[in-house]
Amino acid sequence: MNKPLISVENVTKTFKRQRRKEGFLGAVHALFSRQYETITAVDDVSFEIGRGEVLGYIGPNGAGKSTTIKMLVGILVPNSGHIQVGGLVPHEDRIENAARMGVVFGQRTQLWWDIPVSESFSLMRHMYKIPPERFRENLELFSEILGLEEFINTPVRQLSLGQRMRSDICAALLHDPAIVYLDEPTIGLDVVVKENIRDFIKEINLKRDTTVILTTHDMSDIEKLCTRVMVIDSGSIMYDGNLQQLKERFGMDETLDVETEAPVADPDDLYQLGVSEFQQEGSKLSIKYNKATVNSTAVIGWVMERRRVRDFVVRETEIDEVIRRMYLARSN
Amino acid sequence: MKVYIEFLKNAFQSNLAYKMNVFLSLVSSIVVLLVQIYFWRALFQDIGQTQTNMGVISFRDMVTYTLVSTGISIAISTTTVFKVNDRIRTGEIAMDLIKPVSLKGMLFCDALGNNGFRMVFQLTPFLIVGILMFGIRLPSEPYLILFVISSINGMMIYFSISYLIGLIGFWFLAVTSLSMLFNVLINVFSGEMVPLWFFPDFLYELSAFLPFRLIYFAPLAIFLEKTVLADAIGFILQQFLWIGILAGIERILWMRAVRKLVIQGG
Repeated sequence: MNKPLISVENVTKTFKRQRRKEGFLGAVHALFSRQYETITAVDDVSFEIGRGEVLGYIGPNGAGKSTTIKMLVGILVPNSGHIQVGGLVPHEDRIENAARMGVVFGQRTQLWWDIPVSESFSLMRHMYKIPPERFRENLELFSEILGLEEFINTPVRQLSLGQRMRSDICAALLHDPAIVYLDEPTIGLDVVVKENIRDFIKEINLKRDTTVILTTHDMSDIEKLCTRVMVIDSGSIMYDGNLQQLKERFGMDETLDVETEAPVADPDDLYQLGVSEFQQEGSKLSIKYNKATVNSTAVIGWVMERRRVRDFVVRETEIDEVIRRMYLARSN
Repeated sequence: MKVYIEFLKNAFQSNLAYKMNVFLSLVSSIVVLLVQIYFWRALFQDIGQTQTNMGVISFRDMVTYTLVSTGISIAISTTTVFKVNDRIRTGEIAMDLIKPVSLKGMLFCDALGNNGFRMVFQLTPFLIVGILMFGIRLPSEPYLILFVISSINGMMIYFSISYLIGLIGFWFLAVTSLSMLFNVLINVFSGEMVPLWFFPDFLYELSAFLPFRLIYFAPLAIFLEKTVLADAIGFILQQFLWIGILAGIERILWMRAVRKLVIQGG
């Protein structure tokens, strides 16, 4: 087997955080004696990622996702363990490692605030020493897929979130990096832009064999893009494997919330459809079922046969729920 | 290398977005100039000139001193301390560190671009107004050349100190008070406001051990030809020495800072 592109061995990262008592007296007290607590953000984590993989890295807030990514890109130094990315140790060869990767941190921009997007891109060209031919080709291709033309001459500070995100994603990929790290690239975006970005990432992965590491809270990002999923919680890896398996084991439940004009009279019959659980409150009905065995249209159809439907929503299992179930499965 | 020139051009251009800023800065630097010159005029009214440890100083000397000193301050002052500190405090520094360039190089070019912009749009009109109002006495050629060299070195020292203080933000998230202390030290020991030749002996001697006088006083004393050529060259050698010392400290601090780095806000 080839050497993996990224290998992480027994990596731990802790932070010291000042512990302060509440209120004014607490603040005064902290002036004279400081107490620190140590927080383990990443706890003895090991994994490998091969070239061309699209890895979904998920977990609740504060689970250690961003910390892992920051160590991989070389801006945080692990307390112990080894990290190797494409033969380099990220925090020791920060600049060289940076030249080969692309990064999007959803909550920040790497573009220059005061100048038009196109000029940020041309700074990128110099920064990554992209050959002019290649630069033009990439820019043409990317701006077509991402639809950048309409705002490419606008300064970044005047862009909407979606526009900025698309520009940032383009900027991260202009130099054909071997690896891209996308830290919540679809956060706060509308469905159309999300879809747009997913298509783009997928295409780049197929065409350029770019390795993609994606963190997200959006289960559909993972479903549309990732071949492999890694779940982290409280600094430890809970699951590492393919998505299908994960869903079959933990995440195939769907909840259908229906509001009808009048309460359904015989809700117990729902069990005949294979529904696992339901709750009725007045004219609101919340039905839970396993997607693998029950067809959602059959459930809606069943309700519509009986009552006129005012409104309905289908909720997929959220990542937090998947993780909660993992805990339950472990402790059993 | 090319990319750093691009950074410089970019910083220069970014300033164009804030035109009002340029105009207001120009007005404020002219006001500061007037206040200082009238202050010296009041002091020199009766005596005309005074004997110091660096020769006879006349009111005309002080006019030129003030004009050139304010000019230098327009050309070299930077907001690097706050830029570094803000980026550390908000976690924005992460976006700099994921780029395949040196942070210091990037900030230096940014400072150069901003200073270049101010030289064109603030310093030039300032000098025109100042010279028309008060006149200026230019030094002889060798001194003029040494003045240019020592001003550039002064700028390097100013930048290095700012950057160092900014880096201290990796340990203490807010460096405002530190930066205020730095400004006070500069104001007093650099000779920006009061030339060192008016200092009492112990302060003058103390200032010789600090890098601050090499930022303003050295180029100004050279411009006014108050030092012999050998001493002028001595100043410049000291400047190079301090640039080296500061670069060394900065190297050590940077290596520790990177280990210390905690990115704020996820």
